[in-house]
Amino acid sequence: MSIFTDIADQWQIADDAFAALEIVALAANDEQSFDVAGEQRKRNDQAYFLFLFTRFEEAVNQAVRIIIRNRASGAWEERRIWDAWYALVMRNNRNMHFLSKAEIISDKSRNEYETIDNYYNGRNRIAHGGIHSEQFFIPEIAQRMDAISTSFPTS
Amino acid sequence: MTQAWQTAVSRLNQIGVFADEERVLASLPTLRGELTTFESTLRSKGYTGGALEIDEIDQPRNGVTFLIFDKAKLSDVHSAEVAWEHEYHNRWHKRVQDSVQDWLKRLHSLKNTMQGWLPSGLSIVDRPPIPMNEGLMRKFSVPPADMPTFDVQKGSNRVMRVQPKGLWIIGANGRVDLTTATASYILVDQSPQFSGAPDWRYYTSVNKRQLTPLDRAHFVNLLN
Repeated sequence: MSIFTDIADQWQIADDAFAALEIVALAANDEQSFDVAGEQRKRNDQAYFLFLFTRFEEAVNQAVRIIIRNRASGAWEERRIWDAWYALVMRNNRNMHFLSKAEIISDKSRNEYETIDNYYNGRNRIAHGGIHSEQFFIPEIAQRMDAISTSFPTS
Repeated sequence: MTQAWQTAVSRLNQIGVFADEERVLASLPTLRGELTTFESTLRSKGYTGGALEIDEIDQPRNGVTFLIFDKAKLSDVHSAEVAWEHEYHNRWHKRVQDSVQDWLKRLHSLKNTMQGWLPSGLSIVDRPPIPMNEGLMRKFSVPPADMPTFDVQKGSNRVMRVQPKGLWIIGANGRVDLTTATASYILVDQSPQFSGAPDWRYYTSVNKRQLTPLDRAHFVNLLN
């Protein structure tokens, strides 16, 4: 169990509730209510995706802090860049581009980075735009975030 | 990385400009400092154009902050940007168009498969198609399409609604919802894009951690 699977479990309860509205509408041959419930279900997915992303972002931040802190030691000539990065991460974490942090924790040529990039773009389309057509399959995303974050350093 | 080199050579030979859209190359300062070496490597891999230039674009977009271009073909970064934009749009237009066609083909194939699995006494009744006009289609000027939707009926009674939700789903390669009188199932294609072999699996809250492959036995079970 992790925060990601916990969130996916909570999503399940909400998704079941919206699915129940679809079932009731369909049983009543009420196509309009069926469509409305489908739209609500989609919005619920979007909301839970953002929730998942915030937890994933925190896991990334934590991993980046650990990686940089572990390198910021030894002779000044060796550690100066890492010291500067550590200060940047600790003081101005919000100003550090998320994908720059993703590059610290994953190789850009690997699938993990592509997945993180994909999630980040999805997050941006929801958070910054008036686009409400984005769709997410929450159980798969939660499991993937869980798997990716498991590989992050913890000390 | 090998693919990135091949793409760079191909684009530079064809249109005179390459943008590191996948962000696999080194950063701009590094490449700028080693442009001669970079150009030699490209030539060893088949680049046949003129001397290369590298420069930033005014407004980063599509993950791109700089362009590498053939000075013999394109006079400056602005000309390179126009050429890249044009090729990028055409390339993505085709990619999105192909994806839509592939998705529609998978949906029709799914319908035929389900039809073949139906127990006697059940039939498929088509419904008005669901319009498909997703964000990537609008962005790359791909015309809207129609996704097939249908009910499985026993006589005049609906047993299941089969309704596609969309292709570009984060976490799946397309989603179809299956709604019966008592339950709703999320059916997703877990195959890689353009694999040619859909991998339909459905999700239930009973088996939350694992998707169940859709086969005849499971499908008939969902109908009951």
